[in-house]
Amino acid sequence: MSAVEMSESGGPMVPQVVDPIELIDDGNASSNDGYQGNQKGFFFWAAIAWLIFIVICVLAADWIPGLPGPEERIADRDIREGPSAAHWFGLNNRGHDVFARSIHGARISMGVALVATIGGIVIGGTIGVLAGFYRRGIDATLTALINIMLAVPGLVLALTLVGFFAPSGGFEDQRFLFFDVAPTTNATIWATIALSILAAPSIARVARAQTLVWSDREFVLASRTIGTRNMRIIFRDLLPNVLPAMVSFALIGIAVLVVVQATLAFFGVGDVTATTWGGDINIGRDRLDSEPHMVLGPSLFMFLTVLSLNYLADKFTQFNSVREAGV
Amino acid sequence: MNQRREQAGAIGALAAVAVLLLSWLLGVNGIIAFTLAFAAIVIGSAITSGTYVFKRLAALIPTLFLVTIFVFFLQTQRVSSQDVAIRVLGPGATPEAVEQFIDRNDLAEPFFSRYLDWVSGALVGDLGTSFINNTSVTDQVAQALPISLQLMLYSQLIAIAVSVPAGVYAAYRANQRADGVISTSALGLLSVPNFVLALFLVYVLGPGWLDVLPATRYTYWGEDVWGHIKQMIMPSLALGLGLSAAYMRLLRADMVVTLQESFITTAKAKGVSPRKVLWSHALRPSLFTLLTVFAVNSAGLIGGALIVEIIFIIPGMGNLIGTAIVGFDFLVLQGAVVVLAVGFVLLNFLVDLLYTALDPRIRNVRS
Repeated sequence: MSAVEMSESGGPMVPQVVDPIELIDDGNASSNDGYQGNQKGFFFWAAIAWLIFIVICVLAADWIPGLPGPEERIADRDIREGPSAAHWFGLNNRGHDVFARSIHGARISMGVALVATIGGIVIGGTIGVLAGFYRRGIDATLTALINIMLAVPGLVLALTLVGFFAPSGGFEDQRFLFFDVAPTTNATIWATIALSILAAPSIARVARAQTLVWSDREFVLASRTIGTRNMRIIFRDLLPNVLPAMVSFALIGIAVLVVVQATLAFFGVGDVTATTWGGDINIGRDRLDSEPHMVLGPSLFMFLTVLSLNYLADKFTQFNSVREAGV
Repeated sequence: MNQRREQAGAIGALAAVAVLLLSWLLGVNGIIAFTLAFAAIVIGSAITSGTYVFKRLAALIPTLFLVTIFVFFLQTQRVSSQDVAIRVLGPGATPEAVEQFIDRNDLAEPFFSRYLDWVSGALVGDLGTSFINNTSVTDQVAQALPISLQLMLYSQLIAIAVSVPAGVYAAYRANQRADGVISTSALGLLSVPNFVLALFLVYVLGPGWLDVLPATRYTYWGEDVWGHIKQMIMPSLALGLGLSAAYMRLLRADMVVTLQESFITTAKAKGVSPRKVLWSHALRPSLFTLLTVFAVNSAGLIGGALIVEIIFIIPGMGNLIGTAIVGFDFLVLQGAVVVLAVGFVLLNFLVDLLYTALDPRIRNVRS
C-alpha cells in the first residue's frame, strides 16, 4: 500500500503525460487512438454505481427490507451452510448471514476510512500548505516531522498509534471529549484518529509539493503586490489550486485506509466486537480449507470497493491533467 | 579517473550486499554484519561524492534521534507501568511482584532518564532486554532480521521479474489492447489487500484445493532447502504480486514519457531495432521512480509484511513486532522499529547514490 502512496509523491519530478503519442509504432497504431482517457465508459459508471451502493450500505443498512441484522442468528452455531438463494454468501461460525454482515460491515470499514481520510487531508493539508508557503525554518521543521512519520513502516505506526490511543482492554470512561459514547464507539473513534495521523504525512507531501509550485506563479505575486494578507493568499489563491491534486490523492487514500482498517481488524486491534470486513475475514480464516465462503463475501466487498476507488482516482488524475494541459 | 570514482559508490553498495549475504550464510552476528555493510556503503560513496555523503550522514542523526523518541514516547506513555506489569506477570500477580517488576525494569523512572538509558545502550549495540522472555532484544532482532530479508528479497525478485517486462511492453503498446489488458490486471491486482491474496493462495494452492504447497511453519534454509523454497513460495507471491502491479504502473508511466524524448527518435532514425531501443535506450532513464519506490518498499516490507508473516507463521520482524505490540513488550518493539527506521533512511540514501550511476546527466549537474 505504501507503493501507491509513494507513486504520487515520491521520486524525482517527472512530468506526467497521460495521452502519449506513439513514437515507436509498429505500423498499425495511429496517433489518434491516444485519447481514450477522456471517455468515461462502462467501468467508470460501474465504479460509481458500486460506491453509491456502498454509501447506501453505510447510511441505511439497518433499513434495507428483508436483510437480517449482523448479529441475527439464522441457524445454530457451527452449521456454516454454504451459499444458497436465501443466503447468498452462506452462513458463518455463529450462524450469521455472511452477505448481510458484509453489507453491515461497510459502515465501519468504509466510515472509518472516509472520516480518517478527511482528517488526514485537514492535518496533512495544513502542514503541507504551511510548509510550502512559508518555506525556510517552518518548511524544514515540518518536513523533518513528515520524514520521521514516514521512516516508521506504515502498519507498525498504525498499530502503535491505535495501541497508544485505544488499549485493547477497553475504555473505562465512556466519554469522548464532551459526549457520552459506548466504549466500543470510543475505540472506533480513536482508531479513526490514529488512521488520520497515519494518512497525514503522505498527504502533506503532496500538498507541500503543489504549494511550492503554485506559490511561485505570477498571480500570487500579484496578490502580494497589492498587499493581500498571507491567510487570504492561502485560502483564495493557493487552496483552490492545491485541492484538486489532493482530492485525487484522497481517493487513493480512502482505498489504502480501507485496507489498513481491515488489516487492523484482521489483526484484532481496536474494537473487536464491531462488524467489519477485516474482522469477518479473520473469523472465516480458520475454516478456509473446508468453508471458503466465509472469507469470500467480505473479501469480495472489500476488493470491489478498493478497485472502484483506485479506478476513479486514476480517471480523476487523467481528467485533471488533461484540463491542465489544455490551459 | 572520474569514472572510476563514480563507480566506487556502486562497488561499496555491492560490497555491503555481499557482506550481508555472506554473514547470513556463515551465521555471523547480525549487528557486526550490519556495521560492516554500512561502513562499506559509506566508504564507497564518500569516494564518489565527497562531503555530500557526510552531509547526508549528519542529517541522519537527528532523524534517528527523533524517530526513537517518537516511538519510545508512544510506547511508554501508552499504559501505566502497573498495567504493563500486570499484563506481563498475569492477572494474579501480587502487589510485591508488581513492585519488583517495575523496579527491575526501571518503569517508575521519568521518561527522559529511561530514554537516555536506552540510547546509551543502543549506541553500543545493546537494545535492552525483553520483559516477557528475558532475552536480549539485539539477539531477537538479529534472529528475525535475516528471515524478513529473505522474504523481502524473494518478493522483490518476483515483483521485478513480473513488472519490468510487463511495464516495458505496456509502454511500448501504450493505449492499445495489450496495454489495456496489462494495465487493467495491474489495477485489479493492486486492489487486493495482501492478506486477502495470501488467504486466496492458501486456499487454491494449499490443502483446500490443489494441494501442491504446504501451509506449514517456516523451514530454515539450512534444515531443508527444498522445504524452505516450497514454504516461501506462497508468502513471497502474496507480497510480490501486489508490488509488481504497483511497479508496473510506475515503470509504464515513466517509460511512456521517455519514449517521447528526442534521443529515442534519434535512435530510431539511426535504424536501431525496437527491441534495442526499448531495453538499452529507454529502460535505464525510466527507472528512477521505480528505484525510489523499490527502496521505500524494501524497507517497508521488512516490518510491514506483518500480516503475511503471521498467516504463514514466519518468525521474522513482522511477527516480532506483532507479538511485541500485543504483549506490551515495548523494548522489543522499540528495537525492531529503530532497526527498520535505520534501514529505511539508509536505503533512501543508497538510492540517491544509485541515481548518479543510472543517469549521467545528474552526475554532471552535481559535479
